[in-house]
Amino acid sequence: MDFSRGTPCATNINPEPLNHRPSHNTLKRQVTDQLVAPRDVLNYERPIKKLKSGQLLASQGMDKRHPSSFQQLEKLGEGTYATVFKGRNRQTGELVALKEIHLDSEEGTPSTAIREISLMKELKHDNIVSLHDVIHTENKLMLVFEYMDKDLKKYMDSRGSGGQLDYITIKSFMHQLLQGIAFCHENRVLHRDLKPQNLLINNKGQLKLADFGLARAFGIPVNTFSNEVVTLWYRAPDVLLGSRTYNTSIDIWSAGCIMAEMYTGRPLFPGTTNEDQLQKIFRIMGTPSERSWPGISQFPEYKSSFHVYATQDLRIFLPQIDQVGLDLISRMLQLRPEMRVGALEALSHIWFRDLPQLRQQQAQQAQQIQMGGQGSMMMGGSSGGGYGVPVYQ
Amino acid sequence: MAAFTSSQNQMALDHFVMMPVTSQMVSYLAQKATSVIRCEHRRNQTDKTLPLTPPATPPHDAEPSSPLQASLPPLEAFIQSLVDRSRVQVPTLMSSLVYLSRLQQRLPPVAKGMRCTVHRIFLASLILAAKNLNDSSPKNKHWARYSSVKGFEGFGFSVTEVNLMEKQLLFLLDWDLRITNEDLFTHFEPFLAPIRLQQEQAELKRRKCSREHELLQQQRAYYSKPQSARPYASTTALPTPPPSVGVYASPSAYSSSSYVSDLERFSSTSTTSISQSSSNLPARTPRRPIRQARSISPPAADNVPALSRPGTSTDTHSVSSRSTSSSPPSTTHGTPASTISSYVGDSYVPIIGKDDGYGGEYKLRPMLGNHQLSSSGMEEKPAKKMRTGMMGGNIISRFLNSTQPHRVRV
Repeated sequence: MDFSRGTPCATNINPEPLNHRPSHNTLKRQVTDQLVAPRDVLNYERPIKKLKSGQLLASQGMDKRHPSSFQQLEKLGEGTYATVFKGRNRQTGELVALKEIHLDSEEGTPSTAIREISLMKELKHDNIVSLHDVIHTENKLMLVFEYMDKDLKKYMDSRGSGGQLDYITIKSFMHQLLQGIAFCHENRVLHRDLKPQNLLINNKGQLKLADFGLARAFGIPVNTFSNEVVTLWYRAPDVLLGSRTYNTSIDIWSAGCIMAEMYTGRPLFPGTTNEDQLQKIFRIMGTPSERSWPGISQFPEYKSSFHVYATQDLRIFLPQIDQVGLDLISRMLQLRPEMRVGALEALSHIWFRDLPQLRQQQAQQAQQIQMGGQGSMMMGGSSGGGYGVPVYQ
Repeated sequence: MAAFTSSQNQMALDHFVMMPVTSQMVSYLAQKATSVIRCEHRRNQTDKTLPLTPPATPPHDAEPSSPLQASLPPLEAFIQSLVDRSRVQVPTLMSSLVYLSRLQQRLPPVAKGMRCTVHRIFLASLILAAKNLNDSSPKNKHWARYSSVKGFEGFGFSVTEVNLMEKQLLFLLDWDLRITNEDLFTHFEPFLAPIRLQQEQAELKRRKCSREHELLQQQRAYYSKPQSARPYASTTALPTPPPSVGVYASPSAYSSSSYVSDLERFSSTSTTSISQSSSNLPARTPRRPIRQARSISPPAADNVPALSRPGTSTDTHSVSSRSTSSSPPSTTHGTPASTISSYVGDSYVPIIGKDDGYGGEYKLRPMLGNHQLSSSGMEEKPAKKMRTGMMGGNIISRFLNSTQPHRVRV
């Protein structure tokens, strides 16, 4: 598929730029012509041709806005909602990730895309993948993201140690993950889909949050929430119990699950259904009761018939973890949402105290990653899951 | 707005979003949508002499002026019909005001549309509000269906048109769809003001009661003490409530005859079990029917803000804690853990916690909302400058004029 064949939409292309690449679809063109109102109706002095710089959508002029300004390379991932390609800016040579969202004519612009774009425009942070541009064409929406080498899942798989990561890398990734989360939460955004596939890693050892398709602004009383959020394995117990009043703490639960997974290389709670997921959680964390969690019986999905498990020591499942790290993860994996540590608080946890000293080692580590990363890219090991489409599963 | 605390606004907002849609809201929406852009009365009318900065006269597109345009429903009828058909609720419906205003700021003042342009602008704003605010919302094909109006048989937008207007509005707004509490306070102000007033009165009433609790307590203590230990001289009625700091310094303000009956109205428990009744005071003031203050003259307006600082206005804990100590209200915020369960099924769900939203501090009280949150750290959006640069005339012209108003849907 070639982007240059995409038909520019009437919405955002002026006739002048439109002319430089005439549409193949004459019918569409006729429609466009119809839509352009006669000048006299408008009372414009003259049409404003020049686009002001400094805006996300119109910043690079029309040429860059056109899909053909990107060379499409291999597919990185595909899902029902979108397909992600590796791409190259024809002008600058810069690598990008192109997330193509198919526009359904019945639905219009998907609310996921609407939110992802409006939120990511605002969330500029080192630990959040950056959105360069949005190209809205007739039948698709193309989001241009900075290119990242792989997602955390692929990264772990490529480490050759059963997916387990080393202590320094885990600490560095957790710190970056929590910084990204803290920034979202400070800006009143819930990510709602944190998982290894949505955390992108580059060759510098940077970790960035991606795929804000499920993300939501919170904090205003005009929202309604669904509890169909977060990939099952990383879904917080309060959400599994049917809560629609969840908050920032659901992202913290996911982060705790991810931390455990970096230690073991395997998901901590690999449930198959909502019920199974709860059971897998309770089996380790203990089955909560009204006594340990006042109000739990009021949750829609609460069942008095829950099998009663005793709380186990997380250390059994994370033999590699140190005592301080265990304390941190325990604070993140609290069943009761109000008991979970906040992102900022977690960042100031004592476990991160030696991170500066470890940075030196981390830098060396990053070099090794870079070498390893290039190797795996040669074998086609790039990822696209993090841009919002599952690579597998 | 500066005269009101965020917590007052927040309480009023929390109340407002639970209200049913009223005809006043529909009228207001129509009025605001109409002021977004000047519209032609007649097609093909050319006004080359229009000055660069035209007066902000709202157009009167609600009155069909020629037989040709007779089938265009008045904007109010169109909005009411959309409300009825889509059953959109107040939060989503009224949030479209934010987008209408944002669009107005971004359109050049010379922008002019055709008669159905405002209909399109409103519908697109409503769709974006619905998609942005709700985790599940109607598809555009449903909105196309909702756009027909009874009695205006030829009128309605096709799904293609709806898709287009949505896309166009996204472009014109530059995908800037964030809505903050401040946005809501600003754009809902005409509706929040009366609610705030009612709540203030109810709050005063409640505060008076709690004060009377205290007074009663003190009196009981007083009378249980030997005569020589009684510090207060009694019963001189105050014309207006004293400032908040002084409230508890003059407990003799109210005569016992009025406070007992007031107390009973606000608390189901008997006045004899004072300490208990104070903790049983309604926690959700905004939800209660609001009464006019009766026995005491209402406060002067400038006294009001001082009486409901964050933490005092909604929080019974501050009341009860005040009865026993004189700690400042803002430090007495307690969050009963059990409230989580009571609101699980609530559809207008709220509200996550306090400003930083972290650890053990979550406020899970939907009705009370996040007044704390908004009082401390709400980032206020700077006023958007009009960005003419982004708006090619064609874009606007397409948005504003892209279809014949009377088109029959397929």
